[in-house]
Amino acid sequence: MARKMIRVLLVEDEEINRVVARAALKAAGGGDVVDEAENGEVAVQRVRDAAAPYDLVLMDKQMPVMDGHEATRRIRGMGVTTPIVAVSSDGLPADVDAFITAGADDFTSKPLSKEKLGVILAKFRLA
Amino acid sequence: MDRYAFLSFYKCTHQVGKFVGSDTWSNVLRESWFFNNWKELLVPVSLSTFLLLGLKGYLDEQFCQVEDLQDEASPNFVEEVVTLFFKDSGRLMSNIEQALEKYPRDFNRWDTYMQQLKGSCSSIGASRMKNECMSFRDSCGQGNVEGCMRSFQKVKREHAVLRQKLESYFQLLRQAGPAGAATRPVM
Repeated sequence: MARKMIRVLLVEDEEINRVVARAALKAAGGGDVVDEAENGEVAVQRVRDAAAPYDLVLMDKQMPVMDGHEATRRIRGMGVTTPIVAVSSDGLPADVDAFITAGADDFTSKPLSKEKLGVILAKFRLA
Repeated sequence: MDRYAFLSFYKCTHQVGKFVGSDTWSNVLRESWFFNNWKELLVPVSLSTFLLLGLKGYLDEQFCQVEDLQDEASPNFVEEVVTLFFKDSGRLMSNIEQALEKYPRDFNRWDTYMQQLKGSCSSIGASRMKNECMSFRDSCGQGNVEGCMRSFQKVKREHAVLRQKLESYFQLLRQAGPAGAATRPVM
């Protein structure tokens, strides 16, 4: 039986972080389709307009235009149940709480690596 | 990258020794895992792993993680990421420099820019530079303008040193030929 194509939305404003995360996703086995959004507003649009639902959303916290907390709230407000994993460089308890309250399913710290993403993909049965 | 890398003894010893530091190099030459005759030095580790000795303290485990993402499909991945880092960090440092000159002092803006720079440092594992970014942010939190200015000078210094070291690192890798290829150098 053919393996299901995994669709990931990577929400991150810094290009270097997107490049490394995309490669790490591919190495971890979750990079079949990786769409990118450079801020929360674009992420909400991508989720709303997606032809097929995403299997995973990796959501940065601090971004211009719309931050990760607000984007997560809006995506959940649309009734979308896709797992959202919050990503932050700080990892402070207040950050984690704010993201979980907004509707995130899990939290991981930057920088994203093949190992961290492997754990996330396994947790949501995507690998 | 786990095949033996051959270095031409009389061509590369001086350059590599200078790069990894004379103390490290003299210790390395005494190590039993180095076999050499008068012409060649056989290094039973990948060349990039060996050259990383010269970047010890400047880069952390994340740089090795980035290296692990390089494959046949993207043979220049590490260099591309590092190039992107210097482009990004240059832009962010320029933003910080301009923000530091503006009145009234906007600590929130300074902190936001520095958090972005710290994130870029984390993505390639630039640990020493990242630590200086954290010192800057600490000073920001305390409203300490002098501390911010001092830390920013250190950030710039670490950035310049890292650039020079990484340029040397990639130059030596290029001189050695295809990454990890076990080929004897042309004499």
